[in-house]
Amino acid sequence: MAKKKKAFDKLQWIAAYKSFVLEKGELPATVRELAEMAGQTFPDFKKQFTDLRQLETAVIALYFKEANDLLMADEKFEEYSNKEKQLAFLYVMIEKAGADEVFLQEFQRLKKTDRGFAVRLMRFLNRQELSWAELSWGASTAERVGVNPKQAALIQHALSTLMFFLKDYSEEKQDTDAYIEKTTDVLYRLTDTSTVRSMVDLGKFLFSRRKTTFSWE
Amino acid sequence: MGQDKIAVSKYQRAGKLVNTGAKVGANYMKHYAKKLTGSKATKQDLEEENAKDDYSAFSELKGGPLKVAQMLSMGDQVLPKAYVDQFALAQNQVTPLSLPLVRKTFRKYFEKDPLQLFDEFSTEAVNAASIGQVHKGRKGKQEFAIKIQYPGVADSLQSDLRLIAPIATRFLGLKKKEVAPYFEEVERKLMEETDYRKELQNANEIISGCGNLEGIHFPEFDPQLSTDRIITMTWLKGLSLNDWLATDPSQEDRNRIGQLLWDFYQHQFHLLRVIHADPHPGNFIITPENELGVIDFGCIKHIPSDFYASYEKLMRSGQEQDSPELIDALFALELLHDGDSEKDQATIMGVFGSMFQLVGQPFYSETFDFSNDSFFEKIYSTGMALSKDSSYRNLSARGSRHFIYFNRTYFGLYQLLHQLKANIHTGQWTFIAA
Repeated sequence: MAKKKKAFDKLQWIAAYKSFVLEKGELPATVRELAEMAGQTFPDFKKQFTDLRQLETAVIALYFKEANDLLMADEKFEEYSNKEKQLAFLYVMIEKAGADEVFLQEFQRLKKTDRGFAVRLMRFLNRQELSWAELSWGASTAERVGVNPKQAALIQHALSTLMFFLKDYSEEKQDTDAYIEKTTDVLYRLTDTSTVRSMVDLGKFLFSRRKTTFSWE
Repeated sequence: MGQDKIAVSKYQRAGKLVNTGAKVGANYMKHYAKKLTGSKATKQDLEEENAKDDYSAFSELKGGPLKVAQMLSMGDQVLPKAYVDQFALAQNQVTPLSLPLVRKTFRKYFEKDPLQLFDEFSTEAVNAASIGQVHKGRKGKQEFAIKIQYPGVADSLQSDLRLIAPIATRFLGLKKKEVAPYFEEVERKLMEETDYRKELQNANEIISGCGNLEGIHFPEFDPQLSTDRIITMTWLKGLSLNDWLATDPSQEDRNRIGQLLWDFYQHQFHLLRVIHADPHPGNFIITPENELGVIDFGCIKHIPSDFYASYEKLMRSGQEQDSPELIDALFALELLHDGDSEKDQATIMGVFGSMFQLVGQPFYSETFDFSNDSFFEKIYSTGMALSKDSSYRNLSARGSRHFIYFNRTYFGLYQLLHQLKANIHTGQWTFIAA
């Protein structure tokens, strides 16, 4: 009788899921199917994930986590401006995802009809402690109640970059670099509230001086 | 770090150009509305408004249109002044790319961060060009200029050129088939500029042929730190030509730099038969010793032997109207076509005669004073008159495709010498048998 493998941790289940998709060209229909191929059992799986849906979101979220952890360990990261932090995150995340490009393209093709996946993924990522998002935009995760719109915007931006990357057929994926530069620029320009703050400040000032400023008396 | 947005897809880029067209149209409307209401509205105001809108769209697009803007601004006698003022901005002002992308590009090609390769590396670009940006680095005592290309430039250039071609064809009233060879020449050259390995080859070719010229300096290129998207060269100390001119140099120094420029170009044309074809002020450095530094070898033009020989014949016989040698040269250079009517031939000979007498002046005199405004104004007014002359406008497109970059080079050189207000010796160069 073959010796049973040691129970997988989360990362090993993620690797097994990728192998399954690459080898079979389809998504595992049940946990048992995946576990059987990985030489694991259903209870082993349940120790790490509640169901396949949770595992699937963890597969994509891992690129975010790995990029996040790498940047936190990079001494240059702190010297970057907020916008550069977001740019750096996207480049590292795409580099990580690029190593799994074949899997991701297959996964994207197979998940095309699962409309709930994107929502689940966003919810999952929004619950994660992603220091990069906090540092890139002051999107604090510590005292958050519900979804932080700033972190959600940065995550959405990162996911759109991943989608663009998977359909980028330009030489050396240069268009993805251009996409990252251009969209980050637009994102930070659109959300620059300094003009609005100045207008509010001016409005308050004029309102408080309304009796003297605009009167001939 | 400020980042202006860059239009993304071909369709967005097309939208940007169409938008510019609409704005220029609106400027004309405003101009005529002002006239109707009796307000003061000069043609200069109109041109300035149009030029601002054109430049704004061009600089957002980067790549192709910016290159065209740069090419157009080379000769301020070819375009109205307001256009040149705005387009001239394109020569040194494009928004930079981010440091994370610079680091990523280094890691991709060299598997190292810039600071692992250099003792110091500027986090922000010190200069920006139409297809790349320049960072400054230092290793030991040696300073370096590191040029990094914007991503996706080659694709953007191609899609921009495909947009510009029909617009330009319609604007100039030309036939697509007739102008195709010219657009192909421009596309080929612009695509060459996106390959930094090619630039390295170009640089080696020019430097090895001009390295012994006195008073002219070139950077040393580092092939180990150069790829198709990064090019590394030693930093030439000094000021760009425009910055140097802003220091109000003496006439003697202006003449000296002008002479170095003239000799550099004649040496390339006559002896090397290859010319640095991008003579805009940002590509020249004036060293602390008031000598000429030449940077950026992205655009060079090889002069084919038959073009050189025909051009020589043209220059030799150009002042003798109707001589058989001149007519031979005009046919060889595709300025006259076999199918031309006698009337067309007469028009071409007339136009050629007047332009040649004018533009060729520096070549037929021992010295030439490029500070002479009337010389440039006359070139401009003759060009404008020709553009309105229906017998000339109705002619088919003509001239060897090699004229595009050849003329660009010489008009660019004239323009630089005019900016320098240089009075120089021009007559000592003669054609050398091919």
